[in-house]
Formats: sequence, C-alpha cells, structure tokens
Amino acid sequence: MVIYLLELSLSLFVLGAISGLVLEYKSVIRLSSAFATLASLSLIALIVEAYGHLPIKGEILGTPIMIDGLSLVFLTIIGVVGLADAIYTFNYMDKYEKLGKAWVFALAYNAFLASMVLIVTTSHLVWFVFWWEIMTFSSFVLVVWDEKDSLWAGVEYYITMHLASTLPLLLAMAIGYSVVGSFDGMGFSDVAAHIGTLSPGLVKLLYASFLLAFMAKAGVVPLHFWLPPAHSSAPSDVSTLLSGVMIKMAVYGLVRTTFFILKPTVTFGYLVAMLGVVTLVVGTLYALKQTNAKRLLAYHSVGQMGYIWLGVGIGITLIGNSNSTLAFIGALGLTAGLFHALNHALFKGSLFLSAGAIEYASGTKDLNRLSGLYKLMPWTGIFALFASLGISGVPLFNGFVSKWMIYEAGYYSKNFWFVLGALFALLISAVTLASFVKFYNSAFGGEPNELTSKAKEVPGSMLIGQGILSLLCLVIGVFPAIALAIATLPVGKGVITTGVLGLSFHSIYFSPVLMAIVFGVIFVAFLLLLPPKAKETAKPWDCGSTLFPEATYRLRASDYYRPYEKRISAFYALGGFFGDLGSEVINRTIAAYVWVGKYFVRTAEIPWVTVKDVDDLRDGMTLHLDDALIMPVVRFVKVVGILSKAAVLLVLIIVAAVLAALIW
Amino acid sequence: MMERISIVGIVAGVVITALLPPFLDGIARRVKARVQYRVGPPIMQTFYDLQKLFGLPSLRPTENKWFRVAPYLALASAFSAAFLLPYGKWVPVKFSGDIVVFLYVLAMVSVAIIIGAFSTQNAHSNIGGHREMMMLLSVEPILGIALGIFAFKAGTLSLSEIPLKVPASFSTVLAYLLLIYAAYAESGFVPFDVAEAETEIAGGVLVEYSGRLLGVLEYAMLAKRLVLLWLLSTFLTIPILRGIQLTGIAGGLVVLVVQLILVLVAYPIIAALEATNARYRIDQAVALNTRIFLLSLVVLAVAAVGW
Repeated sequence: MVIYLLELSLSLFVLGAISGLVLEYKSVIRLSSAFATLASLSLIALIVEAYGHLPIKGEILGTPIMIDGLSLVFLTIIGVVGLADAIYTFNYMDKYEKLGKAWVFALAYNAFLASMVLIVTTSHLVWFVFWWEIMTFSSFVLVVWDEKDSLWAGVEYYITMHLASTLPLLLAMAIGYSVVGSFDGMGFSDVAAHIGTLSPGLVKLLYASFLLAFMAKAGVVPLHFWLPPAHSSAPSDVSTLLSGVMIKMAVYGLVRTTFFILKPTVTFGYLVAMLGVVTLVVGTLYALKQTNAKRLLAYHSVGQMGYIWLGVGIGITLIGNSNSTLAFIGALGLTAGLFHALNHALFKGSLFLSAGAIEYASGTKDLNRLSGLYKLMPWTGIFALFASLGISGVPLFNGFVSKWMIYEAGYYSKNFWFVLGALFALLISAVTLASFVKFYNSAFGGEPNELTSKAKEVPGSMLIGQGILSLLCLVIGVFPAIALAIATLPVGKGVITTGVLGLSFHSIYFSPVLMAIVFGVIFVAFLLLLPPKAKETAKPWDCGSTLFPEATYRLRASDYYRPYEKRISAFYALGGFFGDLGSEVINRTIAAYVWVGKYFVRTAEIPWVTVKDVDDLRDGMTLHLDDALIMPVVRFVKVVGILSKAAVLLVLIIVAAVLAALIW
Repeated sequence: MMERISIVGIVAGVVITALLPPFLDGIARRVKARVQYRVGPPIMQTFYDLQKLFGLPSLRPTENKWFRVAPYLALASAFSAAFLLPYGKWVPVKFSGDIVVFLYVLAMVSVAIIIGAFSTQNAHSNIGGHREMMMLLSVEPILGIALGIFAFKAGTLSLSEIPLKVPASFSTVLAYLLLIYAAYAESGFVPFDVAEAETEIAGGVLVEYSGRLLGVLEYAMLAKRLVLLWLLSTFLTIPILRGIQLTGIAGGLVVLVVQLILVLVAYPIIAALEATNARYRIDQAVALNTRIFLLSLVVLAVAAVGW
C-alpha cells in the first residue's frame, strides 16, 4: 500500500511535469500546481499509512526503495512544504507570465519535488547520486528563472554544486564500487557491509567526501556563499523549496551516510558539531545586517542549518558512548537536530512565501522602502509574525522547542565544547530575534508609504500556502508531540517521552499546553478586567516638529543595530575576505569552463557576446551565459520546445506509460 | 496535570506578583528621594498612579491591533514566568522546571513590548524598541554563560535543583554574580533604562502609550522586575537554608518569608544604586555588556578547568 502511494505520488508529479505541453501559460501553471498539490497530499497519506509499519521495502522502476524512520522525517518535510508551496504557486507564478515557458516550469518544478522524494526513499547509493543530480539540475533551472539578476547567482550555485557536491559524491561512489565490485550491488547496506575491507586512508576519504558533499548542499560555512544569492534571486515559491526542503536533503544525506554506511565516530561528530557552531554564528550575524527581505531570510537558512548540524553533531559524537546518560544525550541531540530541520522547513518556508507575497503586492523586497503593510495585508502580516516568532524561538512556537532541546543536549553533555556550542546557539538565538524584529517591523510596522499604499492582500491560494505552514508553527509549538512522533522515529522511543501535555526527558520537562493555558487565562483575565479603552485616534506624537515629513518618521531597516554591527565589524571584515576568496575560486573555475567550453560551443556564435574572460560573463552581457557554459542541454530542450513540443510530449508520454505499466 | 498545579502556589504567586511590584516601586521612590534630599511621595504612590492610569482612556496612534494587544501580552508573559517560580515550597503551575524555559518566557515581555513599540509610525517609539532589543541582545549571552556554568557545576538546569546542588566554588560564586548583573541589566534599572529613557527619547517604547494601556504596560515592566528579583532571591534563599531541615507547611513558610525579606532588602539597595547613577547611552550599555560577556567567557573557562 505504501509503495502504491509512493508510485501514485510520483505519477502525479510526472503528470504535473508534462502538463505544460498543451495549454497556455496560466492554465499550465494551475494544472501543474494542481498535480503537485495532489502528489504532496498522497505523500502525506503515505506518511500516515507507513507510520507504525516501518521499515518498508519495495521497488519502483527497478530501483530499490526503503522507507524507514529517517526517510519519514524528510518525507514529512517534502509533503507538507510541497503541499503549501504548490497551492501558493497557483497564483504566484502569474507574476512571471511575460517570460512564458510555463512548460519548463512545470517540468522543472515537479521534477525537483519528485527527485527529492526519491532521494529520501532510495536505498541504493548510485540512485541516490542520480536523483541528487536531478535535484541539483532542476533546482538550477528554477533558480535562473528570470534570466536576468539570477543568472550569476544560478551559475555560482551550479558550479559550486558540481565542484563541491557532485564530485565528492562521485568519488564516494567510486570508492563504494571499488569494494562492492558492481553498480547493481551498491545498496546502502551492501556498501556498509564491505566497508571493513577498505584501507583506513580510503575510509577517511569516504568520510571526507560525504562531509564535503553535504556541507556544500547544506550551505555550511565556508561553503555557504552560493546560498544567499541563489535563494534570494529565485522566485519565492522556488526559494521556499530550496530553503525549506532542498538543503534539508543534505541533512538527510549526512545522517543516512554516517549511520547507515559509515559508523558514527567521535571525531566526525565533533567536526560536524563545530561546523554547525561556526555556521550558525556566521550565517546569523550576516543575516543581521541584510536589508533585502529574501537575502535576510537566506542568510538565516545558513544560520539555522548550523543549529541542525550542531544537534546532529552532538548526536554523532555521543550516541555510541558507553556511558548510558551521555548516549542518551546523543540521541536527544540527534532528535533535536532532526526536529529543528522539520521546524525550519515550516517557518522558513512560510517566511519565504510571505516575502514573496510582499514582493507580489508591493513590487519590492527592499525592507528600507517597505512600511505599514499590516494595515493592507493583515493575513500575510499575521502569518509572517507567527513564522518570525517561530524562527526566533519564542515559547509557544515550534522553533523554541527544538532549539531548547539543542541547548539542553549541549549543556547536559558535560563537554566544554558542546556547552560552548550551546552557549553560542543561545546567543545567536537573540540575534535571530533581533533580525526578525527588523524583518517584520520594517515591512509591517508603521503606516503605509507612497510605495506600499497601493498594495493589496494577495490572492487566496497564496494565503492558504502561507497559512498552512505558519499555523503549523503555532500548532507544533503548543503540541510538539505531533511533530516529535515523527522526529523521534530514527532514534526510537524511550529517549523522549511525549504526551498530550508536552515532552520530558531525563528529569527535564516542558509542557507548552499548560503554558498556553496559563498564558491564555492570564491574558484573557486582564483583557476582561481592564479592557483597552482606546476609541479616540491621534497622530503619532512627533515632539511638535510640524514640518517633519511623516513618512520618514520611523526607523529604516538599514538603521537597526548600527552600534552592534560596528562592534563586530572586524568579524564582517574577516567574512569579506573569505567571500572574496570564494568568488576567486568560482571565477577561476568559470575561466576553466570557458576554456574547455570553447572546444564544444563556438562562443562567437552567440549573438552580441564575445567572451574573453570571466568579467565579460559577469557584467551586462550575461544574457546568454547559460548557452555558453553549462546549459547546452537547456538550450537543446528550448530549441526542441520551440520547434516541436510534440516531440517532447511523445518522450514524456512514453515515460508516463512505462511508469503506468510499472504501477499496474 | 493536577500534580503540576498548586492552589496555594497560585494564590501566593498572584498576590505577590500583583501587589508587591507597585509597593516595591513605592519604596524605591522614597529611597531615591531620600538619597536626593527630597521628601518623596507616599509609599503607595505607584498604586495611586496605576489606579489613575487604569481609569483613563487611551489614545490610538495607529489602527494596528498589535499596539493595543501588546501591553496585555507583556503582562501575561510576566505573570506566566512568575508562575514557574517557587513561593515557599509551592510552585503555582509547573509547566516546566527548567531555567532556560523560564528565562525565555520572561524574555517574551520584551518581545511583546518591541512588537507594540514598532507598530506605530513614531521614531522615538521605534528607537526605544530598538534599544530594548539591543539590551536583550547583549544581556542574553551573559545569562547564557551563567547558566552554562550552573549546568557544568551543578549538573542540572532545573530551577529547584540548581540552588540545592550547586557546589560552593570560585566559578559558581562568579556565576551568581553574572546572574545578578544580567538580571539587573535585563530589568532596565538605571543605568540600563535606555529603552524608556524619559529625558532623552521621551519615554521610548512608552511614548505613544497613554491611559489604561500605559498603565498595563508599566505594570508589566514592574512585574518583570519582581520576577527576576524573585528568581535571584530563590537562588540565594535555598543555599542559605540548605543546612537547616525544613519540612511541612512551616518549613515552606519559613522559605517564603526569607524570600520576601531578601526581596525587600534588595529593592532599596537597587533604588540607591539607581539614584546615584546616570543612565548609560545605548552604546555605553552595549559596550559594558560586551566586556562583561568576555569576562564571563573567562569564568566559563575557569569552571571548565574545575575551580
């Protein structure tokens, strides 16, 4: 049954992918989103069906499938965020109608989601790498969607992935092949069984290549530089999938390979945890000074990924400890990391959808220019507020519970470095709050200005998309047991006791339900006892300066936290240095690509562009960079598309037919 | 569920959190006046002030509903945090026994105030909210380190167990000092009252509030101060009484009385400190907090070494 649901979901994604061939733009978007919505719903049905019957083994299209607790955690992320995002896409993509190419969107969008479903369900290393590549490529096509500002970001993303993610994975695959001896027999468990025969040096290489591959995908410092530009220049529904779902695949890969192929070792765990600490500090402090709404959110994705890695790292280090208390803390850390991954998918997904709604309604994502949107877009305002409180770790919202579990795991580990890590996590949590005070208040606080006064609340489908994720932040914050039922699957029951009231481990407990009752009763009691008497309105008091322009009488986004930023300016300077270093590497790589590419593509034949060096690609003439470098495939598809959609239709029908044949 | 609720605790918690803060503020105002060679208002003056404010209608500077809801959210947060603390041996509603949870619930007071302050189109109010955030940003790390030392030394973060288990060592004494400093700064006593600096930014977060809403907001701020002070007094009371065998209702009452005495002693000292200090500029406050933070990192290292 579970496998059938998986097949159903994948077939729906395929239908969504090919739905772009026959109709005009809007219908294509609606149809493909509808299929993606249904596919996500069947994923959720799958989760319900599979729960309690784990692990489930099977086959799809001849590839081995295994669904266990870990897969289920990430299937939940894909299912829930996918559902909200697909509903949101119904109307959101109207914004890009001028660009046409709806069928490319349908294809890439559904392929992106489907490839991630397959990544977390396959039990075979080669297929894992294959779907990983499909995910990277389809996401690249979506990132460069507007073909203007996003091109450089997209190229940087794709090249980084090639160098730092695909290459190490291929290397790992080669090492796997060298011990197993055949590609067919490279299931996770087969590779794990043969790992003992490897020389110590090769084992280390295997650890290193997996670590590098997942660091790059997760945006862990120092491989995070691609993430903010790519996530902020993609369309918002795509950013949601990138930040909410795709970078979580790296966490999945990390946990899967560490626990199911390799063995969790103390050194490796320390490494992961320390990378996490560095990442959460760097990512969040950079987020603090952003004034572009989506860039701010993207840097927070880096930062929050640090929290997840810290939790998982504590897990890897301590879970095999002979001291049962410490082993327990390890399990707590791992669960906290996975729980935070789930929570991050919800609040960051919601926030990117809200940022998209802001841009959709007001035409800008520059926080300096926004003002007073709460009055005009109250629903988006509420949803953005809930998600902001979630990511800031305010009690009664989901982010608090998982962050708190990470702190507890760190503090109770009795290990100086983990205590320090937890401490930084706590510190950075305040920075996160500060950053979201800025994000929320500069967009929604105050009164509407010239730019925003024409903004209207976004269409219903976009609100539903935001609402699903945002309200889940509150629901899980009050009833964490719902999400923990899934997040504790990988470590098994007994580590964390969850009940209707809340959760407990060790002698520690927290009951958000009781807290909500206490808080609610006091709040309502005071509201009834002293109801606000505020009928009379008045203009804000400006100390009598009558000639003051009212629209500017507030704090601009760029003015927040100036003194604090000045205080840590040395840190930013250091970051700038590494940023330059990173771009230099990318530049050199592109130069090499161009050099190689010249043998295959005559650059001269691209209209208006003479490519001599990298700067030519960067400035102004980047219009056809994709053609020159890495997108001969895309161009091919484009050409085919223009000449005869029928040909592609035929191919895809065959694919669908094969799939259908497999289902029956 | 029922074993986490204590009726005696709820009564004690509500009475103490509701009535003590204005009274303590009255004492503080008298002490400050005496330090400055003034007669000062009657002890009950803060009650009269609040009573008057509660009776007056408020002006509405914005249509944004969060402006009106925020003071109540702040007050509810302060009371929720108060319900986690022990009054004698009674804890009103133990929805958590963890000090990290407690401090986060208390920080919700600031979050609510900030949401209210930024809902209006008023630069003074915005600057006040921004400063409140900056204070939270620079104090939180110090609190975090103090907790880290407790977790390291006492092996627990439980509100009831830290004072019972904390060993008498160099680093734990310093951790107590850090906790006291952080609580003082977090409470916004002079010289840390930068967020509502009356003479500088016209009340900052309070500038747009008037009448009943202002009363509720001030009440929330006073309650928050008491809650932090009550935490400190609990953390000092139990180690003081650790040696004596206290059981039953009488024992609980003794603890409660000692807690009360400590708070009543501490408040005039705080008032004297307030009266003899001038407010920091925000950059000075942040700079001082940063220095204390760096110092506290050293203390953490000392704790890790084992002193």
